[in-house]
Amino acid sequence: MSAWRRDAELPFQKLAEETIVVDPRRREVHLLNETAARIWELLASPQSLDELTATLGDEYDVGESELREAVAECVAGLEGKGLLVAAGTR
Amino acid sequence: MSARAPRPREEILLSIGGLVAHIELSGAQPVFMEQLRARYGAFEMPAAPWVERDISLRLTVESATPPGDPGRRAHIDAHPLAVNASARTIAAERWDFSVKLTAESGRAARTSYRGSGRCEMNPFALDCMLRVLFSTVLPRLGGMLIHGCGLRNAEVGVVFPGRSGAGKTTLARKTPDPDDVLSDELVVVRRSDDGTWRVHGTPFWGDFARGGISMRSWPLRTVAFLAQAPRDAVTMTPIVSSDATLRLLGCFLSFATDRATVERNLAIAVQLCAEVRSVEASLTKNVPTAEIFRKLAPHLGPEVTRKAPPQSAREMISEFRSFLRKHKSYAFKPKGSSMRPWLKTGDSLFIQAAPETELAAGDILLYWSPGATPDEDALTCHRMVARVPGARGNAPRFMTKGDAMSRIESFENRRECEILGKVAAISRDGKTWPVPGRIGNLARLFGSLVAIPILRMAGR
Repeated sequence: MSAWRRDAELPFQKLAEETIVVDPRRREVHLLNETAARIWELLASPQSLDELTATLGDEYDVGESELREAVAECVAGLEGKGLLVAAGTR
Repeated sequence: MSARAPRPREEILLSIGGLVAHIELSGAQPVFMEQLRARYGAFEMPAAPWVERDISLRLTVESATPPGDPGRRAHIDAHPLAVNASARTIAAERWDFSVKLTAESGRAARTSYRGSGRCEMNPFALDCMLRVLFSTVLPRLGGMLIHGCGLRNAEVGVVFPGRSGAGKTTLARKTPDPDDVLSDELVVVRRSDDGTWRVHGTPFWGDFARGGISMRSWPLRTVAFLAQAPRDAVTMTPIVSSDATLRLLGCFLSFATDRATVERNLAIAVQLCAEVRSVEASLTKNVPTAEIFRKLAPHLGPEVTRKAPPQSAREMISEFRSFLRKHKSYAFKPKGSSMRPWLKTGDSLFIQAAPETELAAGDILLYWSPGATPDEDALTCHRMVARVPGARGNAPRFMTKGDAMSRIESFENRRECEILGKVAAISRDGKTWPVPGRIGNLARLFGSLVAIPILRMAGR
């Protein structure tokens, strides 16, 4: 199964709930909401969709399929913005 | 074969946002120096060698390529602005300049940057180079250059960040007193020693074509991000710090894109937005400034009119100089006893701006004596003893003395000290009278010189 990790080259700053990520190459700044910020935090090490869903399932009171769909959407969004890098398969 | 004439060497010492840069220009023609002084004059200070500098730069000034030169377009296209910064070096180059600075550790772990480079004899080239250097070094000192219009309102400062076309210059043009405009393009925001944030004017202007009038900074009360309103009305909507940080980063002038620089800039932006109120200022070009500040008032806090003293003696003197330049004369209340008995406690002096050539022995001069640090600068009010021609073509030296002192001081104007003006009148006990003519002053001067040894002898 595919795994991702956050791009270690991108500076970021954690705020109270959100996280700001700066991409100097594209000259873009991204504000991650609380959930995306948590996923960003988990992606400090390579994680698959299953692993992310399992971890977040313990933290959020939401059904597994709904959570998996939301996590997949968030990861795709982060990947689409160039904030993640592929970390092989797990 | 004739010997080549030595290249003229000039220097300029600038303090912008509290960051001091000394630039030695080799080969600069007088007309170019006049252009620089016209632009940066409000931020120039006496270039005394003992003033602590954050940047020391030796520039070789080269003749600018004529705009119509056929190879110029290709040269410009081939050399866009490139900035490379690391912890130890800052290198910047463009088609019209190239500089490289290296970090040096000074006393008290203070880092300064020293280097050299070349620059076309073109004010725009030098201005761009300065913007690059200041935007790169300021964050290393906890500050930043913000792409925004800075306005002073009573005793506080407000920054209106916005990208090109957001209305920064329009806002500056609408301001009733242009002296309240700190810049319509770039302002310095920096944390002061007491932990609060302050906004400084700069000479980095946009279409308003004038910048701040002095080095004076103001407490930063609000960051008001400019937005276009759908109709002629003004609304101020508070925004949370995360949103403000995001917006601020879009207006944070930074040319270097290395990780350390971006991390540093990000940390400063987060801190500023967490500690200073932020609003979205939604307005149109037709809204008067008074209305903007009326709507902004609830977001400025109650202390808008509380007197905010200058942050340092350097700021105070620079502001005094700006008043003197504007009004040609200004009142000054001296402290100290070096001019007793001529001056008494509580006296007020009326200082008149005077060109160097009009000054003569006996005049009482007010001059800026720079110290190593901004707090060590001083305003000195002493009597002029003589003006001595400089040796080997050097500038003349001014000899001055306090009436109550035996020591005669000597300095080169605009280098070691800067003469701001001379005393034209004195006010004491509610009465004002002009300072006596030069003969009377000279008699007092020589009387003082004679009297001091006698008094010393009598005291033994």
